[in-house]
Amino acid sequence: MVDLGYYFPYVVALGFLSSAVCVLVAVWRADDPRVRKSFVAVFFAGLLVVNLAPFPSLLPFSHLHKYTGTSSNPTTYYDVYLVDSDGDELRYDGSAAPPAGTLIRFGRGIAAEYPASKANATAAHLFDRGQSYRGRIEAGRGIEPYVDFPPHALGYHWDRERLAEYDEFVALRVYHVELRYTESGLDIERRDRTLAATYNGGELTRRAY
Amino acid sequence: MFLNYYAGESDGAVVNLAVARVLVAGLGLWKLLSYDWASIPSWPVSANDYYLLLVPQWIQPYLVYEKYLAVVGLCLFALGVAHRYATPVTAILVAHLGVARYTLDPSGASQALFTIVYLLVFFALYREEDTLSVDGLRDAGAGLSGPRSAVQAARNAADGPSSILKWGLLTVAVLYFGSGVTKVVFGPAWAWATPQNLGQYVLWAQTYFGVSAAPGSLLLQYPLLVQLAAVGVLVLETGFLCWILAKRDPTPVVLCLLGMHVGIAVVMGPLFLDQIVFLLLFADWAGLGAPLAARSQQQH
Repeated sequence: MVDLGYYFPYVVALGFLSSAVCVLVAVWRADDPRVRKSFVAVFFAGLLVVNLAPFPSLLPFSHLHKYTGTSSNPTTYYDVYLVDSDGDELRYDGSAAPPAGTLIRFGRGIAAEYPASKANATAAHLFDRGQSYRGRIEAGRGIEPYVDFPPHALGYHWDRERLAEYDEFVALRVYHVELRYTESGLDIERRDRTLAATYNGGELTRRAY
Repeated sequence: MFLNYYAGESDGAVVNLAVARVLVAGLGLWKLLSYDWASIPSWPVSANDYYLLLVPQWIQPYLVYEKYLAVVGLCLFALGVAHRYATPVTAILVAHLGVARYTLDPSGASQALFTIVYLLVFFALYREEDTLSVDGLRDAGAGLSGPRSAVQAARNAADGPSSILKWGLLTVAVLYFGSGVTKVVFGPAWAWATPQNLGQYVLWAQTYFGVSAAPGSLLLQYPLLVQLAAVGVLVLETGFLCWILAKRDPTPVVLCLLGMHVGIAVVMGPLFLDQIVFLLLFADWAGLGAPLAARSQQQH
């Protein structure tokens, strides 16, 4: 059986380069109404296909698919924490590791999916980023937080006051979190978290759970 | 308040097009300058590997320079200079930067860069419509004595409704349509539009994004309201394109979509600021500014 996933990156790369050439040619020959009409027709055909078909985006054709399936009960995900020398845990601020923002997939990778060397390198990267971001906040980020394009989500973020409660970071932990909702789906019945991986500044330890 | 350019509405299109151009450029500049491009090469993994052929390891250190080229291009675009040459090249640069970011953050923040690309391409393709620009005013002739005569000259040079805003509006509507249809089909609709489903999403998002629980908790006390919100999302997202194609006044739907984005930000956390800007591109800026212009004329 042909592994379509193997060829997909080549299809994406060819599609992107072809799109770039099409744009340049269409704009260059825009005086011809047939060129413009053909370009617009192909553009909307591509946009509709990517928006209606359930496969990854053929960039530059993109979609806005959000929360397309129904939510599951229980819901599980991975969450990342930093640990200080007193053993206190601080939940990771996604802004510390740009451009990722949301770290669920990387937490899952570290805890369960990546080969050991990759998992170790990713945990080390997040740990370093967490430390340097903390340093920047403590030194004062000036007007940056006020003028930068806002992060993907409002809500949890680090600030000087919060960071002042923590000693130096010495480890990074990844937890497997399970949210169990009431039958109505309008309340959380239980929230369980299980330690899935620990990075101590040099070595990553994964735990079976 | 908002115009359906697909229905051929052309009142104030010249001014609206110029405002839209500045908004698109401003959004692009804001995003490119705010995002951290230098840290992309330091990641040992990617969120998905499908796009790495377009941003191989050796290219990644140059993304910062590519960003500055795109910034220059967007500044030229904001003024409407060299639409034929600079705008398509800028569109390709922004698209490539979008792919680079998408390899680590396939969220709406990255996806919005591609919507900017589509709009840049429409501007380049139908550049003769953008008469209230440096290119347009130069073509209209010299000797303009001020902003008012410039607008008048641009209006005289423009001809009919705007294809740029027409195709731009259709593009934004298709993006919502795709989001709505996938919920209807893969949800499926009858399971998606339940208080249980949306309630669980709200609770998950509150927990993960850490947004204040108060607005969400208030909403979840009224299951009927949650149900209405869930049905409303499906109707709005799938209905926007149909509404546009039916050539109806888009104002009520656009206002509801804006309300939806504000509601999502407050209750769940994710802020789709890009989408808010994209919807504002289709506001009747000339109509909204007309009373101000009349007042300033009276004072003179």
